[in-house]
Amino acid sequence: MKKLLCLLLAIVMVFSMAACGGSGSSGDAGSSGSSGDAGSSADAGEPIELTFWGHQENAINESFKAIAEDFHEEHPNITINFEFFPYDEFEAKVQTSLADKKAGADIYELWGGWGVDFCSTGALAQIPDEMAAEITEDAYAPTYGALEYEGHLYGMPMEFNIESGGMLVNKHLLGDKPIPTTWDELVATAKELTQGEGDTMTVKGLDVVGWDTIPYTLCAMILSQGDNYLNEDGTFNFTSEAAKNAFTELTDLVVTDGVTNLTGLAGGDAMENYQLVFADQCVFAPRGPWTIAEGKTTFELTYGEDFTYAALPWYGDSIGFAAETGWSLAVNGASDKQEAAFEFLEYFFSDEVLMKHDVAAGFIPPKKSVAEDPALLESMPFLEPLVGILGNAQFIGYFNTDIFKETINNVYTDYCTGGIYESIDAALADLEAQCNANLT
Amino acid sequence: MRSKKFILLVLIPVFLHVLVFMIIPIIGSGVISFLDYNPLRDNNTFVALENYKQLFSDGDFWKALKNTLVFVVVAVAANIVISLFLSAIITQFRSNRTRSFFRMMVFLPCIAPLVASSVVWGRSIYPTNGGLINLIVTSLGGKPLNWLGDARYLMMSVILFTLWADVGYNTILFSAGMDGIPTEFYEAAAIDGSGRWNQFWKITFPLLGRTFAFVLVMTVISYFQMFAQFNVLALKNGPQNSGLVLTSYIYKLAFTNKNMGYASAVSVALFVIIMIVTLIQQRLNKVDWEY
Repeated sequence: MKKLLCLLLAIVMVFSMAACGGSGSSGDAGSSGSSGDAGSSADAGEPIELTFWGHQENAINESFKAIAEDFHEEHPNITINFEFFPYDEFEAKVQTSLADKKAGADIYELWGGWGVDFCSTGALAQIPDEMAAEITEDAYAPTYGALEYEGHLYGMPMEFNIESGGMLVNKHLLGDKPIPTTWDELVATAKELTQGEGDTMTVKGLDVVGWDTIPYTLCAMILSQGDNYLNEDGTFNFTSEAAKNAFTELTDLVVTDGVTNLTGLAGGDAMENYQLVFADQCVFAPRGPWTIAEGKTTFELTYGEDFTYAALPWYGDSIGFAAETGWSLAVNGASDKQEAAFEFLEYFFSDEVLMKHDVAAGFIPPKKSVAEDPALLESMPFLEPLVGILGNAQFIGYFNTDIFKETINNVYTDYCTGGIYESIDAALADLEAQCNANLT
Repeated sequence: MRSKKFILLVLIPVFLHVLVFMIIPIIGSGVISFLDYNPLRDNNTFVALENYKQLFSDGDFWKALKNTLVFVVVAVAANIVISLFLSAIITQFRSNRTRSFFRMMVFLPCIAPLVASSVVWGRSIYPTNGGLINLIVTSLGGKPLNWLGDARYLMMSVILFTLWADVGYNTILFSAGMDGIPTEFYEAAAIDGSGRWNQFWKITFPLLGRTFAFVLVMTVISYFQMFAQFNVLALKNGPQNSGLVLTSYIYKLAFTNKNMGYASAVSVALFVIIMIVTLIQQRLNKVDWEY
């Protein structure tokens, strides 16, 4: 019996030691931080296989593969193997694998917002200085804001994530009416075209109620009035007059104007607001241009005939909106093939490759030189309302945007539902307090 | 002695599995609950009982606990009643083939992964516009409701789905338990003039004791841990967190808020709750007979 127990203990110890050993050795590689320290043999011509993790999205996945093939032709010793995961479980997978420091990928496709949590930990490798300088000089600030930590970059942006300034328009529902060019016209047209009411609305005139749409629209409405939702010290300010105007207007769309309802946040719709446009259940939906591809492929609609993408009228007198860091590429801090991985990133960030990828994915390029290239509008004419306003964007801020969005959406829902806040001032004071509490 | 060694040898893989995948993670979670923990960081601060203190003042935790208890009590009770009823009906059939057919029919939803069937229900049965239930309601002259977006109906909708998806499993267990009751008892009862209802309550129900105890404990434990349908059907935990249960709260804390220390404290609280409920059940369901 004693022998058996000893055997059992020995096996458990072997398991534990193996686990500790793995983590320790690779942890050393990760702590080096700089790609220059990593022991790689990208130049030596030895075969190197890189693992790349991304989220499932056909057009984007195919573009990655095509770019990797072209890269392989230039660097015959480097092969990239792809693994794609459903978006809903991708973040948890990336986080778990980075924590493990041994399993996982050499290169990650990373939602920029996650950078706020990842960059400070040493789990991601620091972008080499030369490439970092190229990014900060040529890319728009919001595209890499969340990838920075203490003056260093830990990721390479692939897109300018924009959810403001443009909207999908259902042409069948709009009929002969012109596309509105002012905020008041937009609300008036939406009111005219809305069908049904409450939770069982059959056609929403203007659907701003969505997980991303409410926070981005609120921020843009404040910024377009010449104010800011962020104080200089990085704390939140939602009690200004501009914030009150914006929040009142935004809640009125549900409570007074009745051009949309709360199902986009509370649940009950089978689709998101932009999908409702494609399904003839919504006239206007402010969303990013990445949604257009879904209308064409999944819903098999014709752009220009069934739906179009137009400029979203600004609520205030000026142009101003917030954008968060979008899809990016990052290298695992524990990878022993960092040099080869960064070669791929450098290749990817060239104007030609970035243009190719962003056109295939329906992204707006993060680099000014690519975004301002007339060839972009030739390939994606629907970006016309957006390319001219990219310089007016403000980085959303260095905080967990999931919590930020959740806080705004909860206060918005609670205010519209009624019975929780006595006044709009009370709602905004609570919003400001909650957002500031989350900063600590 | 030799057979004892053989038994121990055979059990080693199971012990190892339990140790590596259950006991060590539970201990690990307990340790993490005393830290301000981020797995990506090299140094994590010891915060003693701070995470546990936070539980008492965290409104979302109490909301999640309340929702979890409501779900477990209502769904388990309904599951037991329905599965007992179904298995009693299925057992009435004399033909083995007929019994097998109905068992298979009832068990079919259990085969589908919960996530997949949740998506189907969320996108085709529950939607406000074009959802099957609202189509039936309106065709009968009723007013369509927002089954998933209204805090009043969300929990009921999730429970209804859970029952559809899970009731077949317990039906099979009860059905097998009923098949094992000797027919002599029923024959004797019938001779004494006992009716079917009386037979069920006086013979079937008491003699199902062991099966009942097993089914109750396992169902309660698994319902405390239900996650998939809440994650899919309750959009971002539903309006006013009406669909927030402890498992979804743990997931949100760990992977959205990146607060793994506190998430572990909530996990430990859930573990303790399940353990207490299970111990009470075992005490109440003690069965001292055999046939």
